[in-house]
Amino acid sequence: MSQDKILAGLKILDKKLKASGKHLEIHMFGAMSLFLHGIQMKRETQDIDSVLEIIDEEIINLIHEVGEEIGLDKWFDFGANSISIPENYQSRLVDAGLNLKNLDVKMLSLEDIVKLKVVAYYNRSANGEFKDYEDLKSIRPEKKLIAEGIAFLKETYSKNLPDRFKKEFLREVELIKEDLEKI
Amino acid sequence: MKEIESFAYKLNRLGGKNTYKQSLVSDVTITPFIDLEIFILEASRVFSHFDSRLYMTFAYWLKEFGHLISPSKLQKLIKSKKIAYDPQVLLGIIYFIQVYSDIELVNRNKGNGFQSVIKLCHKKFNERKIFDYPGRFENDPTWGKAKIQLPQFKFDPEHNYLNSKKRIFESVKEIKYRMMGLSANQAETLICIENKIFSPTEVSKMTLSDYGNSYRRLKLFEFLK
Repeated sequence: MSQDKILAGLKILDKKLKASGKHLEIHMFGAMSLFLHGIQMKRETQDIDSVLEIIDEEIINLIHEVGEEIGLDKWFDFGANSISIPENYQSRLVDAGLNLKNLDVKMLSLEDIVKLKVVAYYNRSANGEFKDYEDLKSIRPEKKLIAEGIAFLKETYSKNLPDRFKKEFLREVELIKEDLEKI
Repeated sequence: MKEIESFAYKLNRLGGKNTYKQSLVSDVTITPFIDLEIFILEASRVFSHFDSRLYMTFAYWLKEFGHLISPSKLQKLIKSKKIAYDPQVLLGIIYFIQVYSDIELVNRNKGNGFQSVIKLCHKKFNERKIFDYPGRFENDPTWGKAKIQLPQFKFDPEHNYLNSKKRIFESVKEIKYRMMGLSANQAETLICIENKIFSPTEVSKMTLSDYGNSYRRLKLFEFLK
């Protein structure tokens, strides 16, 4: 399973970080974090999505080295830091329980992951892509979490939206809400 | 290993970045090449178990490489009755290739080479839905022609379902040689030779072509020994 490969990769990365005297903290979201949250999914994942940007060249090289060793050359998504993340998410982080020494792996809470999935569903369903809908079905979030996700979607996109587009956007949000309440 | 996992593994080997469970990938028999026409027939068999992600990966693959599928080989395989397939899905796959793949680039009579395969598949079918998505979204009329309900395919050049075309060209010989203009049998024979398989009997078995043609092709590439 590629999840096992990724977990092995994190252990190898931890050793490499220790050998180089470096420390790294990861705030994980995406499918790998769902797996670690114990969500049963039909699909696997081949990468880690992390919120925090990594700028240390040495650490980036170590991550690439590990990718080659585990046979997943794109196992770490460096571009994931560009998405909108729920405010104060840090206070809700969950420890991944990997007990590594120089690599601190934390995951976004399930409620924050649901928020991101709702936004992703809104964005991608317009292109005929329903993987986020399926992920949300696997999570089976309570109505309260869906409502929080919808609120986050509104907050993310309506902030800078001109009034003439706001009405259309809110109509689309209602449709998304209806879809998700039927899950 | 489940057939769908084996299919997902093959799709990945052919350039896909799908993430369907492939828990027992090591069980897959390693062959020198993946026969693209058999791959399509396998796809038709497991299609009803696709999730959205696997479907999108396959759809993008068909869009990019569907034009490389040989209609005559597909027809031959169907007529041989040695490989099971789902005619309704195969019909949908062919319609999809005809509409979305760059078929005109390879000048295969604008996809009309598939007409004989379409005739072989045509039957009365019932409506089928592959995976769940809210009913308010538009269905794709191309799949609809085969009475299969799937969301409207919208090509996104920024998609992340396949490796880059350049990387696929460099690493997937099944695709590379066909893109360079070799026929299915020529491409597969060349891969056999690169894997030190020089026996005409063995090559004809692997490429599903007759002994005489395999012998001639091997002779043609003899200098590569």
